[in-house]
Formats: sequence, structure tokens, C-alpha cells
Amino acid sequence: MTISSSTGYPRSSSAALDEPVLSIRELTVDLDGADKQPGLVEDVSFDVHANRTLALIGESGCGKTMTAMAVLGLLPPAIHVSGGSVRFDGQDLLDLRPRELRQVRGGGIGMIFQDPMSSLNPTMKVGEQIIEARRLHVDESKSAAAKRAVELLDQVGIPNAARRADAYPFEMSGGMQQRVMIAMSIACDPKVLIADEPTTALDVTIQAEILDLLANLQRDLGMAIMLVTHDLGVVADFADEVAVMYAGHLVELGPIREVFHNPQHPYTQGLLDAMPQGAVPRSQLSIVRGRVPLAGQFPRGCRFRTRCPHAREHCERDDMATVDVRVDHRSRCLLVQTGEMTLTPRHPGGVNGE
Amino acid sequence: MSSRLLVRRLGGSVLVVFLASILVALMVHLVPGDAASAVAGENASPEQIQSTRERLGLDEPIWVQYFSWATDALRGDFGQSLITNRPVIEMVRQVLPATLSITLAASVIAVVIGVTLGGLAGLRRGVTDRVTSLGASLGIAMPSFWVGMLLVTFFALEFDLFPVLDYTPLTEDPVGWLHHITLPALALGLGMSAEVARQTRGGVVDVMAQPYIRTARAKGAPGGRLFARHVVRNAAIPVVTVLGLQIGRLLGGVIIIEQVFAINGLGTMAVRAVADRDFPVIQAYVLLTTVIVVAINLLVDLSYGWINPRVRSEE
Repeated sequence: MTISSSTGYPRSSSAALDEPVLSIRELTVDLDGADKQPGLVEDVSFDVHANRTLALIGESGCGKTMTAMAVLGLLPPAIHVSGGSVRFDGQDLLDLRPRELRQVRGGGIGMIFQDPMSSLNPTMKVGEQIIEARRLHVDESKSAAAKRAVELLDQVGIPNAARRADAYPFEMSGGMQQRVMIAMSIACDPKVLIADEPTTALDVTIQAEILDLLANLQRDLGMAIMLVTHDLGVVADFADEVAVMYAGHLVELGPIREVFHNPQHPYTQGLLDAMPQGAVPRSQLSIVRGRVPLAGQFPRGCRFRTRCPHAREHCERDDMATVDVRVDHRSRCLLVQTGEMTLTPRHPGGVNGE
Repeated sequence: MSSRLLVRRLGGSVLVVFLASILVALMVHLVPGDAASAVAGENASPEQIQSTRERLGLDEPIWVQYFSWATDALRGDFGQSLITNRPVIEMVRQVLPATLSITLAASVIAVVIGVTLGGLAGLRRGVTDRVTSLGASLGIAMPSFWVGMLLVTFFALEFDLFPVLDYTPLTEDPVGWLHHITLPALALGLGMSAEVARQTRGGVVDVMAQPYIRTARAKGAPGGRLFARHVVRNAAIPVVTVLGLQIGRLLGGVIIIEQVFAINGLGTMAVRAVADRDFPVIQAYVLLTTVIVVAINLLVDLSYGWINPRVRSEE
């Protein structure tokens, strides 16, 4: 076990060959005017690689979406980034001027959202919305963009694409709307796709179709995907790496199998234990007791300690960081880092069909 | 699809006008006591009352009275004024342009000021927002006749920029026309612009918080384009609704404004007719206002379909 400093992020051996496309370092997001409050997102660092998917998971209110929004400067009013960096394409996105940032939005980085119905403009035909996405970044004629829009709709599996381009969002099903969103987000061949809970608002059967579509597009286009979700089933099927967030902190980060089979943070372990699997009838589901504290009421030190069954007094320490506890595998648990506590590997099963 | 909606809305409007016309035609009977003696006046002899009854056809069965009145009205014949003995339609024709000019100008003022300030307030928030909100509250709270008097005091009497009274037809002297209607239109339009500004601000704030605005940002759309292509249309519906309601109210407000600026318009005519119990004139006035209000509502309804494709496709 190695403990490295919080700033020197060690490159994992498997990732040594490929540079990350998107690299988030010590990202901190605060509420305006709340200097004394603990950050909504604090000291979050992770990488997203081409052709791979990183899943950002955690309960509601953990700062997953804030982290994703911060990447493209799309935080709601009254919330701002107060520290850290977001490296993409040789530049720090947090330093860009508005005009430069707009080039990245929808250009180098595409984004899709939770509820496709309300995320599409209800008064614009879907074709027009894709054309707009295209023409904001590519210098091409309207007719060329329109042709490309139909191709994109076709690519995301919308039947009768040429005809459907003339439809309004409300004339489509939720699954089709999400396909339109995806077509729009990949209109300019982005290197990174940020997907914020892309399947949460959809039927279970449609969820699988959308995930399949994303996987196929990733294979064809080689883009990196940053997937924000609270659905561990989605993560298990789809992600290569997992970043677990709790109350604004990144508590665990590692390859999917590592994290699922050998979690190194009590919160991750609790989440995984709460996942119904094995399908033993009438067996008790375990839960993580309590709730995520409200923003502004996060405890000092380890923010999970108020719910953690293993918490000790020094979990209040302020100088805690997310560090490597195994190769490629980082945890923010002090007890795990110091060896005071050992979390045993979970029984395999349920993950990646093992 | 769209044409069916049009036919249905049009049918509804015709129905409303028809029902209103029944009330208007039989209005004479709503007066307490005997209609004929009320019309003939307090000091009328029984013979005079009887002749009035016959002249107005009040001795006929009610449905006959309505039918003859309605067929005449459709031809534009509302009878003669009981006071001046001039054809009512001629009187209306004489005063209508002044009232329409003021009302339309007031609406234009309200839309331009209201949408601009409301839009800015909704987009910028902060100081612009607070100043606009304060101004809007003031605008709504101040009665239009008082605004009119202030305007007259300052811009007409103090600085002598505009004429105090009266009206000049557009056809005779366009500049004079503009000169004469500016103050009354402002007095009438400012209150309405406050209402429009509030609604616009609310609509813009609402729309700006919608996920599709975030989507447009995530696509890389710059502010101007965001506003023009994604905000305006979606924020327009509540604004159009308020506009429709307000234009209806303007027709009431214009009566007072005409008094303040001593303009011989529709409102002045109506006030005089009520005082004189000049029933044919009142009937023409009420029916005309009903038709205007119904027509505006129809336009508002149809504009919903144009603004929102979802309304268009609904049965």
C-alpha cells in the first residue's frame, strides 16, 4: 500500500500509455458568499480517457452533477468554481474566456442530460436543434447541416430519420428524445461526452437501449464518456472506471472490478451491499443508514463519518485526502489508509456477469 | 389540424357575440320599471310614453324585437340617437378613429416598453431587475387619469411640448395626430406596460431556468442567439395572454383618458349616452366593444398555436 500526497496524482500503470482527454484536479465548487461553509464539491480529482467510460456515482446531493456541470461552466447561478483545474485539449477550461469556452461546449465536449423532454426546446423541430448544434461549430451551409442532421438521427437509431427531423420533441417518445439529445451532443464529433443521468427518466427497457447506443457510439467514435449516475446496475454494465462521491468529496476511485469487488471505502461498501443481487427471496437488503447531510451542514474531516459504522475520533481530521491505497485504486478513508481497518473483498457476482 | 382549430375558435367567438347581442338588444327591458317610460323621460305624458313604446317596437314580442334589431345591426344600422336624432352608426364612425388611435398607440407603447424592460430585468436580474420591478409596481399602482394629469401638467403646460386637449385625425394632419395622441396614449399605456414588463420578466426568468436553456448553452450558443431562438418564443405565451387581457381593459381605461384630455371619442360618447339614457347609442357601444374584445381574444388564442407547436397539434 502506498500513500502519496494529495497533489501528486500518480499515473496508474495501465493508464500510462494513454494520456487522459479530460483531467480534473482538486476541483472545488462553492455557493456564492458562503466562505465559511464547506464546499459543495471539494478537492475532486479524476481523469477521463478516450474510448473509456468513467462513472461518477453517489446518492442524490453528493455533487456528481455539480462536478459535471463545472466542467463546461454550466453551474446554476449563485454557484461557482472556487479552485482546481479542468484540463482539456491542452488548456484549463476554468481559465477560458466565454467565447473560447463556447467553442468547447458542444464542440470538443458534448453533453446530454437527465430528462430529454425538458432538455429539448419544445418550440423547435428536432432537426433544427441538431442543425443549430452543428452550425455553432462547423462552418457549413444550412442544407449541408440539415443533411448531416438526418445522418446523425439515423446514426442514433431513429427510424425514418429524414421525416422525424421535422418532428417536434413532444411528438416523440422519451427514448427517441434521448436519442435526439445524443445525436445533438455528438454532432461535432466531441472527444468527450458528459452524460448526466442519461437513463434515469426512461423506462427500464429503453435504458438498456440507450446504454447500448452509447457503447456503440463510443466504439465507433472513440470518445471518452463521463457518466453521472446513481444507478449501480448501469455502472456495472457500462463503466470502465468508477468515481464514488459522497457529500462533495471523492471518496473512492478505481477500475470497475476493483471497486466493486474490493471496495476500499465504507461508503462504497455500504452502497454495494445495498444493491439487490443474488436474488435470494425474502433475504434482507442492507441499507446505508441516515441521509446525505445537506450542503452547508457537511461535517468536518471525513464527511461520511456521521453515517459510518467504523467511525473513530480522528476521522474528524482536516488534512485528509484521497490517496492510493492499492495500485490504481484511491480511497479517502483514513482508517483504510493507515491500515487501522481492512475491508475484505466482497463475494464476486453481479458485476460484469462474473 | 390548424384549420380545425381556427374554425372551432371562430365558432366560439361568433357564439359569444351572438349571446352578447341578445343581452344588448333586450337591454332596454333590464331597466327597472317600464322601459318606454324610462326612455321617454320623467316628465313625459302617457301619449309620449306610448309613442316611444311604438317607435322602439317595445310592444312587439321579445323575439321579434331581437330579430329586427339584430338584422338591422348586421347591416350597420343601430337606429337613431334618441337625443340628437342622428344615425348611431354615423356618430360611432365619427368618434371611433380617436379612440382606436389612442388604444393602439397605448398598446404599442406598452409592448415596446414592457417587453424591453421586462426582458432585460429577466435576463440581467440584479439592479436592472429591482429598478424595473419597482417601476412596474409604481406603474400598476398609479391610476391612469392621474398619470394623464401629471403628463399634462409637465409636458403640455410646463414645457409646452404637446397640446393639452383635443384630437386631430390622422388623415388630416399626421404630425398633429401624433402630437395629440402621444400624451393620452402614454397615460393609458404606461400602466399596461408595467403589467407587460412584469409578465415578460416572469416568463423570461421561468424560461431561463428551463433545462433546454442549459442544453442550448451546452451546445455553445452565445447569449444573443440563446435569447432570440430559445427564450423569446417560449416566454411569449404568458405575455401574449396578458396583452390580450390588457387591451380589453384599455377600452375601459380610455373612457377616463378621453375625459382627462377632452377628446371626443367612443368613451365620451358612451358616457354621454348613459347620462342621457340614449339606448340605441349604448347598445351600439356595448356591442362594438364586445366584438373588439372577442376579436382580440380570438387573435390571442390563434397566436398560441403559432407560438407553441404543441397547441397547434391539439384537437
